[in-house]
Amino acid sequence: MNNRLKVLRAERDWSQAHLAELLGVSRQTVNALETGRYDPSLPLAFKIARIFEQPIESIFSEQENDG
Amino acid sequence: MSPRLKSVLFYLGGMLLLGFVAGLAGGWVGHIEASDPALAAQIAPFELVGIAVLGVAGMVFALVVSVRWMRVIDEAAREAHKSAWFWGGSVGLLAAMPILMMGVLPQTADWRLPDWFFGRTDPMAYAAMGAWALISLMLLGYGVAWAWWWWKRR
Repeated sequence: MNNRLKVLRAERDWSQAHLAELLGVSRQTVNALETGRYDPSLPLAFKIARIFEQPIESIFSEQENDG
Repeated sequence: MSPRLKSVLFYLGGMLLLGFVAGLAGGWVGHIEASDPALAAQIAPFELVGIAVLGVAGMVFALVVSVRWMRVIDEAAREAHKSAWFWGGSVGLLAAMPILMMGVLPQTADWRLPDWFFGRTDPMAYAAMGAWALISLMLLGYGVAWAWWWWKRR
């Protein structure tokens, strides 16, 4: 699954650590999410959407990663 | 520090304290065995019960710490542990298969493996060694699988 987490975070000038704190997860988890190597659970995906004030489908897409 | 993490550290401290008490008791029993064999023979049954009680208490503490730890960490960290348990633990168990297969061969009949580690070759030493071998292989597999999970998602 692809996502726009890194872009959205950069737009707000947030660090991974700050986003991790907002989400209540570790920085390593935010990194794994951003690289698309870990797909979040639905509750976490909803939390991400709430924090970025965007619908889930505008953050996550089901297109597979090339790598 | 979150209250949940504090609770984990509290129980971890309990485990360390238990280990410290067990170490002291072991040292005291060792001293008695060397200095007073008659008294050592008298306390031998209690020693066995004491070790069993400490073992069970350690198991309970470890279980409580594990449950609380799993509640403290986030979902990705939990996923890493679940993956490590399944893949690492399973592969660790599979790694014990060659040992099991070698054990039925007549060529290994005179191998005294527990003697290399415990200096004993009685049936209990063989049972303990089998348990240690399984635990070690599963823990090794667990550690490698856990590290691999995070390495792939770095």
